[in-house]
Amino acid sequence: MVRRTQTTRQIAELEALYKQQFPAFARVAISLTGSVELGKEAVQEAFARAIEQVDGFRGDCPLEAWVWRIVVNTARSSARRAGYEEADATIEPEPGGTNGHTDLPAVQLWVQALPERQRAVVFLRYWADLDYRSIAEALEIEVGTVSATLNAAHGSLRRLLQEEVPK
Amino acid sequence: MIDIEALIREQLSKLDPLPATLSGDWDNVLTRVQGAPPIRSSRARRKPIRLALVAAAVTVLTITSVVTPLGAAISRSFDDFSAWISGSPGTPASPEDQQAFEQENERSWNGFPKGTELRQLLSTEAAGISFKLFGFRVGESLCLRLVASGPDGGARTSCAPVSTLQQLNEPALVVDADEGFGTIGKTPPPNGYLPQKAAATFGIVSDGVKGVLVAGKGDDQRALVGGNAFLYVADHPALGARVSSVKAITGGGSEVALPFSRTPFGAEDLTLDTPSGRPVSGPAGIERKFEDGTIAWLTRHEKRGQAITAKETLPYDDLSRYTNNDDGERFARLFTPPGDEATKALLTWNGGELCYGLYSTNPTTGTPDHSFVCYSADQVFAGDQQLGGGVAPSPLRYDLTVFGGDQFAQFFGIVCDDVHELDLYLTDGSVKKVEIRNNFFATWIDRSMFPVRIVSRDAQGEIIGNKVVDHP
Repeated sequence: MVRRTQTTRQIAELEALYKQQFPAFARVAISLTGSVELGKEAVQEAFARAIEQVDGFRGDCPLEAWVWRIVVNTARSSARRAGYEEADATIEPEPGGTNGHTDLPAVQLWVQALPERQRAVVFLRYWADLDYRSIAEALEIEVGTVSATLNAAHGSLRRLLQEEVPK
Repeated sequence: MIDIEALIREQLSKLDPLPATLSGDWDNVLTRVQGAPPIRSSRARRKPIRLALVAAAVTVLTITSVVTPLGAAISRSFDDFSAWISGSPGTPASPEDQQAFEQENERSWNGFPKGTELRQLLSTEAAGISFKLFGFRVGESLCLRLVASGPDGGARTSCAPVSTLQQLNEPALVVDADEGFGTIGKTPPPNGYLPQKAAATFGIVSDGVKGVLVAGKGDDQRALVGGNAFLYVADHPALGARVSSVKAITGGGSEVALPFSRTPFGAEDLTLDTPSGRPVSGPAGIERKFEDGTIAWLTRHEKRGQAITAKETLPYDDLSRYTNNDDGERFARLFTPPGDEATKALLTWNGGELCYGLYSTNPTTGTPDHSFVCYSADQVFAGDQQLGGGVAPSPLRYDLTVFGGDQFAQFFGIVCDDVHELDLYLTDGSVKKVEIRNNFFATWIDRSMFPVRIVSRDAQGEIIGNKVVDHP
């Protein structure tokens, strides 16, 4: 009975999380899949998985981080199925160009061009506003790896800016 | 030296807004869990999980959207009102009743969503009128519909937000009080009124409630209780008689007074929504003065929601001028507001005027109803809130509407782009977060929770709007 009540609460928290943060989940999933439709699908699927698996959630990390993990994994799987990773590698910054997007500023294109893990960390940190620990839980990596990945992303962006941004 | 973190944040914040059509669909998520997704990948069909579990999950839906000090009350409420939260109180309505509801609903494009399923809760007879009380859930609203048959018949629909049940201290909720049916006589006396044949008071009860007592000037009268609802119909009530107290009897036999707002009698009755007597809560004043509030997507004619077609102009003639969709001067977009899925929100641009409205079905008459108002675009967010010795711009425009004996006032309106959060501070100390979509909001406020403080915050969390409303 206690377990059922706890599970019920967790599912309700999932629903609240979904309704409050769908745009954030969708934005990250879209960035990982390279497609609005695939991104949305991934979020829908991820929450369905989360409901199914919530009994197995032990509370050893924030529920939100646990959900982010499922969303990220689902989006990655979706991207792999759609062959986005291969296409992703060909993305190059196009100052003023569109690259399938509408007038994305150059920095945003550079973010899109980052390796997948860096891109995921960047979005989770600066879009979803997760702390390092939650990012670590979401991506199933060490906190130190989050820090290192962010540093690498910063360095990559800094270099790109210095090379590409007109003086 | 580049502040790379600030740059990333800034650039990410400028990402194109997600397409208006890209919104979350929780029902779709649940459908996937149950194993029959409308669109799915080639993965194997999942093992269904218990419907009850999913339904029960909805019970705490708004736990994070309603901040309340009454944690204990919340945890108690979940199970007690589970039948309502899951949309399954009582028993399924008969096919005839369901069909009658659908036919009435289909007359208007802004009625309840198609597929809304009625549940029959109670039935009784009084003053020669047959009454049936139905219930249903629509999005974040729990609705009761009282249908009276015969010459004095009609239907009244009143709704309460789901979130109310989560923060409820009491084991029952009055949703509507003293809804009148029929009149005795045909011609009212000069400056007078005709007495009514019947007056109904009804609401929602939790599982543990064994009875409900309703009182006017006289003794307590026992209401019908069943299907997680109560219904009391006063037979030939005295002219102007009003319910003065409603009490729930718990399983243990104790009586719990239910707070509710008295229904006014006649046009001269100014006691409507007498403030609760409790002090207004929440922070005072504003922290930042904003300027030149706008709704950018509307002024640049961004196509959010849907356009108005000929269907939506009926019966609202004034909307026909917008059916060209976007002729340069006029532009209109229609969408479902986040907090009230039984209505439609309309935002229009009309040659320098900014207009907004809420389109719904009048719960008393069952006919299409709307509230639509226009402001000069440069005046819509011009000041009406006091700041120091002067007047500051107000980041929102709102309306409050109450129908008859409804215990909940409909609160809706628009906010300018500066507003990122909208909070309502209620007199029980709770804070209700109001969801905003396309600069529009709509929700319900318990009339017994006034005066209400409306606080608007910007992206940095600073208060840019602060207004106290004494009553609807």
